[in-house]
Amino acid sequence: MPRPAAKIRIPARVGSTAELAEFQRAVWGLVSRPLTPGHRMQRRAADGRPTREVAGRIVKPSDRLTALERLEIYNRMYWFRVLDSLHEDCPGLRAVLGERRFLRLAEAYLVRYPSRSPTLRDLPSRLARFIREAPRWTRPHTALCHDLARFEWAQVEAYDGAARPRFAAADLRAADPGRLRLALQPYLQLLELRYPVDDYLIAIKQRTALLRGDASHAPAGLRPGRRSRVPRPRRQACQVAIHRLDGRIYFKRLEPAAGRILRAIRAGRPLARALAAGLPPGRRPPPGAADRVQAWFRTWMQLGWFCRPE
Amino acid sequence: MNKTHRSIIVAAALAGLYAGALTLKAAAADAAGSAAPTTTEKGKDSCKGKDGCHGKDGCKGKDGCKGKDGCKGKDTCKSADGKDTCKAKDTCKAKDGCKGKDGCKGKDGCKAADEKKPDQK
Repeated sequence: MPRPAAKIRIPARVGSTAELAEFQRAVWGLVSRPLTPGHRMQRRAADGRPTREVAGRIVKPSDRLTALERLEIYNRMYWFRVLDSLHEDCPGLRAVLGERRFLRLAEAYLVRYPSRSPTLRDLPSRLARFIREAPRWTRPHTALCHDLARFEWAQVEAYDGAARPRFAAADLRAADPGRLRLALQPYLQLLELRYPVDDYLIAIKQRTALLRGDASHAPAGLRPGRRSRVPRPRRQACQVAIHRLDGRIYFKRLEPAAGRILRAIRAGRPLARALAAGLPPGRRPPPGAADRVQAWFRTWMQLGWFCRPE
Repeated sequence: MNKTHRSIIVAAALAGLYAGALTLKAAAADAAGSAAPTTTEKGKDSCKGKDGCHGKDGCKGKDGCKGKDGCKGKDTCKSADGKDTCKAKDTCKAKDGCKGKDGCKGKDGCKAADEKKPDQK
């Protein structure tokens, strides 16, 4: 049986910043406590005392609501908001687990890693780590869910991650090719995946759009049945870059060698060493390697992925 | 790879960098990959921050501020004793609302700054 947490301390009167902090911790402890299955406030606080008793020491009743009912509004509001935010951010995880299992995963995650940021943007930042730490919530699809959580978080990062001034042709003029270092835009996300979750997410979105009626004029035969699901992807290693261009997010598949080169550049290696890390070892580069490298760098430069090292 | 081959690969990369810098920006979209399906929704709903802008009438910020016109304090406490009409104490959520020094004083109702009688000063 889990041991009750330490007794919640509630100062009788707030007369210092330390007491204010203590009071805030007590309120936060109650507000962030998970709801019951019926979406109500739990009857007991984390320290085992009746919630009614603890609430009575924090807030006064009004002429219509008891202290518990007043606090319950905030308790429910917090959970509905954070769960709604995760729900919106994780369409892939929802599709794999189903709504009920996803909700249980989300609650367990938020109990283990509650929101610590003033913005809900950061809410899924530790979800992939949690899935790895507590695989029971996602079994038997833990590896797929781990990939999806990483991918869905990478989209958030790519959407509003920092952008630095692009590397320009003028920066090349004074550079010594043997020592040249490039850097990658902070918003560019490079992922090595076990499952092709990029295609999976696109398929889910297309299906959702059809179900929502975006294509309600389509003949009935072309509309998916309500129960039809996008099949879960089969294991197939791939590398994907998630980036943005003109305010839109894109997924771009990378060849393994291209992925290795980009990761070596991100690690701060000079260009020549990054290229050596990417291409397979041997006395000669594989046929066509120079053409491929040229094409990759042209594309990456076009897309603005490079910036000057700090 | 020997030094010559390494130099060829580095030269190819540099040529790519030059070519990419000179290519029209419009061509980049063709090489960008698959557009993410969440782009439109993200654009619309991603402003989730503490100070996130929800548009002209959507200010739901830090203090639950409902804006200048949403304050139910100062302008709604109309009776002198305010006993029955004052809604300030529990409803005013705005920064300048009737919560402060000159605002709702509980038992005697709301005595907003503008409504004070001279003898009350």
